[in-house]
Amino acid sequence: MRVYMALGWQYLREHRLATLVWLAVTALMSYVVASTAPAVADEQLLRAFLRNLPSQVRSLFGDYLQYRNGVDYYLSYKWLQIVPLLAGIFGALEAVAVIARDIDRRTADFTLALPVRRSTVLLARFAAVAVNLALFYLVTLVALWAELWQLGLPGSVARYGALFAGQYFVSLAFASLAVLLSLVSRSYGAAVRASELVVIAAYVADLANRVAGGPTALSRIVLFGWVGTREVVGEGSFPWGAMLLGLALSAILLRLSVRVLQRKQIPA
Amino acid sequence: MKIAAKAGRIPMYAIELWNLRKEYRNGRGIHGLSLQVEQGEIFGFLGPNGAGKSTTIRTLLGLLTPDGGRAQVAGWDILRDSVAVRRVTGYLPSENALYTDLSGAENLRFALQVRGVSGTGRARELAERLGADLRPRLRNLSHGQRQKVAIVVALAHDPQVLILDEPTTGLDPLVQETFFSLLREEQARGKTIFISSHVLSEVEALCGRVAIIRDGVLVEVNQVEALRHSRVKRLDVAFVGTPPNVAAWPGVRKVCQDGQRVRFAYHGQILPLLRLLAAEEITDLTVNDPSLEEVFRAFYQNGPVRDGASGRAGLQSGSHKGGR
Repeated sequence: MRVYMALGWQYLREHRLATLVWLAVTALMSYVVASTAPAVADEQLLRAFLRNLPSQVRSLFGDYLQYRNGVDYYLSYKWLQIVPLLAGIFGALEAVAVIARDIDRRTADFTLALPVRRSTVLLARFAAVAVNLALFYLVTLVALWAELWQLGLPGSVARYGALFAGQYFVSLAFASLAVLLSLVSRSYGAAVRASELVVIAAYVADLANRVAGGPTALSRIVLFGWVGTREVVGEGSFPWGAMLLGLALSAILLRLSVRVLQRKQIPA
Repeated sequence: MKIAAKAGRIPMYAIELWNLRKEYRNGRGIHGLSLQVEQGEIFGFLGPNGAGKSTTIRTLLGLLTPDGGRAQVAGWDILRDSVAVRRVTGYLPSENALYTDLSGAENLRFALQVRGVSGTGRARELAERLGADLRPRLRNLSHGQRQKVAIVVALAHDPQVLILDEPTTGLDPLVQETFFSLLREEQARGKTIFISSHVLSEVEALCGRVAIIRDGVLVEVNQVEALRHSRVKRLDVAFVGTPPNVAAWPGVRKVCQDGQRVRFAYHGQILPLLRLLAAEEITDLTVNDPSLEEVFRAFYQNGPVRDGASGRAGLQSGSHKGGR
């Protein structure tokens, strides 16, 4: 445990600045979006807002009557659906740095020459990534809640929390995939590009499929379909599927990553 | 902190390599190195860039997996007991490998925590002696200052075996001298030091024995003194009348003629040369031992490399404990 703590803490310290910037920007965006919610709190204004929405967006988020209130619908459309994309990008960036950045910057000569198994380094640092991702969702939720509370708006914060819980495990799976990609990529830069591309492509595929009214299975294949805002925030279902699938995929991908890392040559 | 060797058994050699191989697609790497470094020895590992020094070290530390052969450090097998090898080893890479976004103290704390070493007394003492500032982030330090911090981090856990890859890079001469004193003290405390370098003067000043590696093959393993005495000689001969064509004699290089006086370097057994000289009429003869640099160059200028067996023979001929 001591070794895990030391490795995880070192990783968090080294990435503290980048993490703080991400968290601050996300919290600020949450706060700003929530601050514009009064525009739809009134039923009349909400209807006017909906009339201007394109039909594709309506098909994406469903009927606002499926939601508890206009604020939930508005936040789902404006923000909650975008959060997993940002979290996916953030998580992938952090995950790629678990080992590949050390190899790229030659700090692997220091870390991997310490008396610790490579698998321990990878898992301890991935745990740090998981902590950062959890912080990401937490500050997003807290910022939303704070502004809604300040404005006295009727947002379903508990449902947002449930949505974020599901999205968290999906982001974790993408982060695990990023670790694996980073270990098989030619360079750190290539790994960053590949990981970001995977996250964005999956997100866009899910979005396009929903807008086009395509099969649910397709959205689920790219993972984002497991945590639809309509289902969780609107209908109130808890995203157990996303959590279990995210956890299982993360475990499988990390196991594969450990195998690849154990065979990885660290050239001069 | 005392770090024990394997299961209470004190291995005879601190580092042992048996036909160790690591081959790259471009033909580079190490091709069957066999070598033994004794306990308490300061051992130099010489060769130009690309000769296989770093590959050897990285293979010992588990950063690279060997393609064949075997090796042990402090009695621990580098493949089976890789973690134990790294536990008894202090490693100083050839380029800065510490985290530049962290301070020296943070890097140090991280390394000691992972190693399970509490207390930073030894590190503070080392930092003081070397003049290393552990407070600033490494990215704000000069190359030399970073190297001092790296030395402190490599030695802070009091390792049984020190593996130093080009350790004096960036150090000014005064700090270099302090560092050498430090290494000699470590040797006096029974620690083994394995220094890879292409800076011959530092190896000459520090090491008892050296191995010379060329194209991934050991070409010589011997005492520094023995190398100087046995291999290359510098001769200054004054002939009567016109000097003979010395350059055509086997083993003769760097011929410089000044009238009847001829200066040249000779590589090989001394007896054949004496026979050739005896056939000439000479008035003066001076024989000097060369610097290690000349010895080293001789190994790199004289035709194809010797096979691994020759390297091992060299090892056997100079196997007594060295170090000054």
